[in-house]
Formats: sequence, C-alpha cells, structure tokens
Amino acid sequence: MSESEQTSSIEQKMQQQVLRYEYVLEALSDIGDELCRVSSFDAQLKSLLHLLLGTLGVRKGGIFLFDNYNKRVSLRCSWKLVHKNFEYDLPHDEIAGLEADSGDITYRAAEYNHLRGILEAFAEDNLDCISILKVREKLIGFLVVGHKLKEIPLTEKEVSFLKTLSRNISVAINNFLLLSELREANVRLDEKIQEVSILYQASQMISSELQLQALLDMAMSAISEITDIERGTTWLYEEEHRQFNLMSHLGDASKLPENLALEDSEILQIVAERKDTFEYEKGKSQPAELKRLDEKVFGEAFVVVPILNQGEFLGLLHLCATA
Amino acid sequence: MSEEFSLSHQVDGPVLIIRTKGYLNDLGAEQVDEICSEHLEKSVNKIVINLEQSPLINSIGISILIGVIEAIEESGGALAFTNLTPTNRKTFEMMGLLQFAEPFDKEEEAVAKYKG
Repeated sequence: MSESEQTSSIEQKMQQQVLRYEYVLEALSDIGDELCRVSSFDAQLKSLLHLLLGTLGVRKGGIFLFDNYNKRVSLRCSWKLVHKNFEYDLPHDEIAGLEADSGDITYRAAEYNHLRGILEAFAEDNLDCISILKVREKLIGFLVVGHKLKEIPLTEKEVSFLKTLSRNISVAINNFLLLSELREANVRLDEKIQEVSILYQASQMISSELQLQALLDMAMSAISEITDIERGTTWLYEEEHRQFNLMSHLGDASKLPENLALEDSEILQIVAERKDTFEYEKGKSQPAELKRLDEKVFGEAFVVVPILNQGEFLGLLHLCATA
Repeated sequence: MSEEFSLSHQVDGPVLIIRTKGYLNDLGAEQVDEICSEHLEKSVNKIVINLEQSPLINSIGISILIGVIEAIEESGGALAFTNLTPTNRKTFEMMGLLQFAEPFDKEEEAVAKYKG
C-alpha cells in the first residue's frame, strides 16, 4: 500500500471515529429527550436499554432488577430475548459475592462465573456481555446484551463504552428507586398529617362540647341563685333524631331520662311549635291532664323557655316551681 | 423532533413496501418491527423501507431496525432502505446496517430489483 493510500485509509478511519462519537453524543442527547418525554419508570428503562442497543449496534438485551427484600432478580425490561418475563431467587452467597466484587462490572457472558443459572436460562440468546449494576457496594441488578449483527462480538472499546453506560444506568435506576421511596414516605406522611388533623378537629369538638356543658351548668346555677327555683333542666334539640338531650339540670335528676323523643312529649311539641315561653300549672292551663312522662320530667307547675338562635329552635330551658 | 410518527404499507407482489413519516424513535420503529414480523410470518420477506419523510432516526430506532434486519436475514429475505438523507445514510453505514441492507435512491428502484 502506497504512503498516500495509507494516509487516506487513516483519514477514513478517523472520519468514521468522529462520526461514531457524533452519533453517540446525539444518542445521549436523545436519551435526555426520551427521559423527559416519558414519565413511567418502565418506559424510561426501555429507552435506556434501546440507547445501549442502538449505540452498540446490538439486536437484543435486557435489564434485570434485584429486589433486596425478596432477594430475587426479575427481568424488568427486554428486547428480543427468549423470555419476556423471568424471575430468579439469588442465593445469599451469590449476592455477597457480587456485592463484594470490587473489580470490573462488565464481563463477557460466556466467561462470567456468577449468575450462571440465569445466563443458562438465556443460552439461546447467545448473549455477549453482562454488566453488573451497582451503586457503591449495593447490588441493583444487571444488564445483558447480545452480539452485533451476524453474531459479531463487541470490540473491547465497545465493551468499555458499555461499562460506562452501565455505571450511568445504575445511578439512574438507584436515583429512581430513592425517589420512589421518598414519594412513598411523603404519601405516608400526608396520611399521618390527615390523621392528626382529624384528631385535632375531634379534640376541638370535644373541647367545645365541654365548654357548652360548662356554660349550661353555669346558666342553671345562676338561675338557682337569683330565683328560688330548686329544680330545672336544659334540653338541646337534635333535629336528626327528633329528640331532646338532657344537657344540664338543677336538683335531683336521677329519675330523668337522658333524652326525650319529640313525639313522646306534648310539652316539647308545644314549645317547638310555638317557639315561645310556655307556662303551665296543672288544672289551670291546657292541656288539662299531662302525660305521665311530661309530668315526671317537667312537674305540675313549670315554665319552659325556648332557646332560639335567629329563629332556629335549639332547645329549651325548663324551670319548675318549688313545691 | 416531536412530529407525530405515522406509517403506511403495501404489498406489491413479493415485496412489502413500508413508508414512514416523522421521527423514527422507539414507538415508530416498533411499528415497523411489528409490520415486518407480521409479513415475514406470511413469507413476504423482501422488504423496502422508504425513509424519505423520516429525516430523523434516533439510536432507539436504529436498535429496533437492527432487529428487523436480523429477522429478515434469518428468513432468507432481503431488506432495502430508500430515500435516505445523507445523515441517515452515514449513520446506517457506521452502525453496519448497510452491510446487510441495500440502500437505494428511489423506492421504485428497490421494488423493481426485488420483483425482477
């Protein structure tokens, strides 16, 4: 070969090399676009796998992820491999061996001593290389790639490129897994915050109930101080169940029910309907005869004062004359 | 780059002609792969892919096309790419695709060769 021919051949090779670099750089830029475009982890993994295959000129490959909890590897994403789904329980010593191995991460599949069970399951694919995906010493998974067209193996430079990309893929996967954990923790935190918020609301409600109780007791006590009333009750109306609940009382309340249904008491019906103070004295007022329940609760001579708020009937105060 | 991908295909005698339009990325190339596989099963194994309206092909698209080439090779068929832009032609050459698939300037030339 003449000198000029040799120079021309070197130039051609250099041009090819430059083109190759340009292509790889474009591919890396493409993958940036892809990763921004797709949001699901599986779609992103698939894009990463195709980036590898497309830049290496390889037809088939797959990414396996290791689940540290179950100690199991599963084929998470693949292209043209014999199995589309594959799971394998990794023995502890194998995990320890992979994590402790501080040497290379990319190997020729045929020469690799670990993960033989898996590589044999994919023997039909005639895989060329395997790259262990690790971040620091933590095993994340591994990826496998087949040969180039016509079963041509990858060159040493291509294997080196595969190693570099594998490291980046490990970091990308690890970042995603950390982000997922963070998101899950955030969801749990949100749930806890919601629980606390509900508990706070409940405690506020209990607190305001207690305040109401204190207020009604205080009102009843004040009435007894300024009048000679010895017996009285305060009832609040619960519209949902159409009943009155005993909230506060003066004097002996041992025979009083805790609540009274509106339909059971004529007095309650009169007050709820009139929404006005109602005085009663047996033999002088209507109705002439009281129901037993009304007589037991309200007595034979009493005043009932409705508790109103902007026209809405909330309950009543009952004051019974001394004997 | 975000142009929506579409594809049309027709069978002309023993030849399957695929015309792509838009960015040939993973989704686009997978469609090409599916149509090729479908026709290879029916023994239509002479395939012409016209890439005139797909000036952009990314590495993901290339990886899938490599699979298409291999499948056609295995079936004893032939593949031609036509109307390649200079950039795509260089990329295909560099990735070794043109060692197994013939480039043609025009679709008709490729079809005529495979029909003859």
